[in-house]
Amino acid sequence: MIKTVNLQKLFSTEEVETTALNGINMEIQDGEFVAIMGPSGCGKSTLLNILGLLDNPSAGEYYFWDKEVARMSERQRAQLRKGSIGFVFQSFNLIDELTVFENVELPLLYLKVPSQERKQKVEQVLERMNIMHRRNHFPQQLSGGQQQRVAIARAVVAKPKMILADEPTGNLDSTNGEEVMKLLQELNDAGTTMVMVTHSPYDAGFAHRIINLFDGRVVTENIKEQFHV
Amino acid sequence: MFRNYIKIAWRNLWRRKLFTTVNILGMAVGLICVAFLALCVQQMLVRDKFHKNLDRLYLVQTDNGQQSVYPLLKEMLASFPQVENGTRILQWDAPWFSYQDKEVSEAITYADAGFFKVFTYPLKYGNKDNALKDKFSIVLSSEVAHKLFGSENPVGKTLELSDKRRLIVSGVMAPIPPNASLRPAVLVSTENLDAKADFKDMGDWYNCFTETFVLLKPGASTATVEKQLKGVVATRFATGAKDRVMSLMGYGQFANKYGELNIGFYVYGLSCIALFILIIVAINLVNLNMAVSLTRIQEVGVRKVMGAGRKGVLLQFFTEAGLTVGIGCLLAWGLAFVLMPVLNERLSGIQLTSSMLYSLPFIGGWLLGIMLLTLIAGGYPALYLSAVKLVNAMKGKLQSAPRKVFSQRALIIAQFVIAVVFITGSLVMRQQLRYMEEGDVKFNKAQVLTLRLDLDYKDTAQARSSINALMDRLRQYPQVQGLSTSQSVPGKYYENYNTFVPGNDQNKELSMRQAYIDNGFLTVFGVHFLEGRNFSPDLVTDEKAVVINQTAMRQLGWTSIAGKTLRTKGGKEDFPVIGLTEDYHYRSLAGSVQPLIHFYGGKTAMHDWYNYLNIHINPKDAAPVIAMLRKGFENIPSHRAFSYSFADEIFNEQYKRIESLIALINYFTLISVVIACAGIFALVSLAAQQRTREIGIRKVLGAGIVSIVALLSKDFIKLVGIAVLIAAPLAWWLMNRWLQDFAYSIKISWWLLAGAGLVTALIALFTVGTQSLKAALMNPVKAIKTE
Repeated sequence: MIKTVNLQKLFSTEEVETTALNGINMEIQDGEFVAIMGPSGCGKSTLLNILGLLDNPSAGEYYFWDKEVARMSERQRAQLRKGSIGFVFQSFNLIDELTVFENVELPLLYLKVPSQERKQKVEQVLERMNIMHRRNHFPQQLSGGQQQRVAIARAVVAKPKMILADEPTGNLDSTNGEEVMKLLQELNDAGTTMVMVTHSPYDAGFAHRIINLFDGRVVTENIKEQFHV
Repeated sequence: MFRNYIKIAWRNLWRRKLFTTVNILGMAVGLICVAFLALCVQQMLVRDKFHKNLDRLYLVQTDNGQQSVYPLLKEMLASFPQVENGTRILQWDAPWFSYQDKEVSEAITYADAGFFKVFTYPLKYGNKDNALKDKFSIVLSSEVAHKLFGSENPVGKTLELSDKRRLIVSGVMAPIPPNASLRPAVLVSTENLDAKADFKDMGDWYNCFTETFVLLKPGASTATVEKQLKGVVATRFATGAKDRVMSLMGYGQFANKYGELNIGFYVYGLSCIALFILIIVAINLVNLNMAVSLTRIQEVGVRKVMGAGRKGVLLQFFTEAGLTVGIGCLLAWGLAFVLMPVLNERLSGIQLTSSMLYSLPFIGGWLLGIMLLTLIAGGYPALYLSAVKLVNAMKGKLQSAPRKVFSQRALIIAQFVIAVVFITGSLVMRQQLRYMEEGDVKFNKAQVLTLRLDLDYKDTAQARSSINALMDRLRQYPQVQGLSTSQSVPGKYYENYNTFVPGNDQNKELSMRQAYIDNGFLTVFGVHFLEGRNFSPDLVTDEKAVVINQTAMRQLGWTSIAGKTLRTKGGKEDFPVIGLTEDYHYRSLAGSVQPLIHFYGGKTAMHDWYNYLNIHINPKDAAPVIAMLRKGFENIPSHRAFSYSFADEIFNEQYKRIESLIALINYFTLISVVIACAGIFALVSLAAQQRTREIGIRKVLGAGIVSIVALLSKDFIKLVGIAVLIAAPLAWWLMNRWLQDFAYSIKISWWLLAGAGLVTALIALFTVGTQSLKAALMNPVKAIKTE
């Protein structure tokens, strides 16, 4: 599903040039659950942004469904991203002015899904995430765990092929964290490819494979269980 | 999708209630001003435009600005082939009209039968072809008709005038449009005037006191008509008037020249003010919207991640700006209805009506304004934010810090420059007014009690003897130091000019203002004589004597009045100059003292030509005298009520215009300050919000409240400081230009400019300080957690 060849990312200011990614070669299969680990500043989030088509690499190749996307414009990337990638963030990134229902509905609005179908899909996913009773609440009226469930609901409502999660349990207590991880595993079991950046070895334990980064390079790859396509 | 935009826009406005209120109220206040100014300008631009024949309608003027002689129109109608029709207009008397038990007093506008052909004043009742044909017919304005007859049709009814004339109503005019310069209350045929005993000899070929309007035939040339007018001067005009030049002035210019308003100046001035306010409003909108938008950068990021394109983000910000602008405009529009009557009370020469607020051009302009403001207000943030890099947006990072945005700073400076200019203007005007009110007018302003004598007495002869008896009683009061009766009083001299030539040198001539006074006037008003003496009731020769002022003597080129005489230009009779007075200010200090000539109107007593009774008395002792006079006058049957004022009150009435100008400027000052402060208030609160974390860190590291307040306020105060530096010379220059119109004016001192700057800075400091203090008092732990 995903393949990178010698992927590089440089950040430069007037005086300093920092190499965030330095020749990343990796491949992720359709339906796989991959955890990316490493110390702070090793390039995990940068890699996730590029994989999620939020950013372009400075050099190297990136194949998304066998298509070279590394040089695409923001507009082309947005088009490709829409409906095929879901995002879950550490800080949830829900829109405060929208209710739970409206937040989850947002990706469907941009996909121009008809109103009736939208309602049905949103309710379905809220039901599944067990937050239907909170549908008319605003994010700030919810607990952290509930907010992350809403964020996951929003990430999956358009049934994307892949979900990218950036430290999804980072802002949660262990009980809520566990719950979120179980949800992600369920989604993966149902066929969604999952790429997760995490600090937590426990969370990483849910993945089929762990990629360890250090100073922008892949240092080790631990295969917990062989993944079969 | 659009519903989603509206929903989120509404919730955003609701969430920042204070900010939204400041933003919308500031905008509404500004827009009301713009709306009113626009309506005023529009009314001026369409001034008199309703006359169907405006392009062929001309006013005949003599010597570039004077009115014309009374018999001219008849001559033109009879012998000018290019003149299609015409009418004269003049006011001669203002009698009381009564119908049954109802009475009104109105100045009669005398006009010719052609009036309704020349001008477009439709009749509600009656026939315009013969409304003024009959000597005894009278046409009423709808207001006067309503006062006398209510809603019934009065055509054919007879009105009785206080001078015993009886006139038959031949028509009622439809309500006169607000943009009309000529607004006659009642129209009577000139034939009626011709028959009046006190008018008979006035309508000669010398006196210019008539407005003559002519309607030229289509295609007629004004040059030809003016050439013919030359012939009329040569053949018809009286001796001494043969050098006059008559010309035609398009009626479109009439309001500009004779109306209360200098249209060109006001259109230009008001448009500038409206534009200024619109700029301030737009600046605020951009600044405030930008500031709010910057706090929502992460939301933009999330939306983009969820699939929103650049167009979607642009549309969202435009929707939000549109909603804010829409609410502001709607509020302004609603308030305009409420405030219109208040405004109308303060406007002179122009009338606004509520119907103008829902006229098609106004609504069109308003909608265009909404769109324009939305584009301006939404455009900048929309373009800026939609272009922010996605990864940065997700982290809430901006390409450049908002408080360093140059345009935002420039906009704040511009707003405060305008505010400082207005404040300075207001202060300078106030000071100039006080200077004029308190200036030395060189006559006794403080101790003269003045009564009106022209009260429309029901029995003039009886009134005369009663008033003379009252004056005899007055003389018995020890506190009364002197009495006088006069045609005018300082501040209320008639615009009555005549041209005089010295008896021994007919080549020199001087136009002088003339007035009739008694022997007591100059003494009661404490006017100093520099040479000669006052009028004396004991000398019969004084009936033909005159007293002039110093300016008159100087302009006649004399150094002394000894042995001098004056005669009216073209006249034969010599008037000996018996007295020379100091140049006292018989009119406001706005102008310099002009040549003045006083004729003797007879000794202190009630005469028809004396309108005032002046009593030299200390105001502290006046109460019993006023009580006696009130009682006395109440026993004299009259149409008008007894009224009195002190000379300084009457004199200062001349400053009403400048007072209302100051009031107007004060409004604009207030508005510009409120809007500008609303702008920085909101901006500083947002800056505080954006710098929450920085403030937290600084506090943890030991920063005190004062230093945090200074940190947040410093940038804004610096901008206000720059604004003051720019505004001071600008205001100085502008106000000096304004002061040039005054003969006696103040010098703008540095402390006045400094004061205006200081006031502005203090207001800004207070505005910014309160918000900064709030930020400074916040718990630092909470602040640091924000990230």
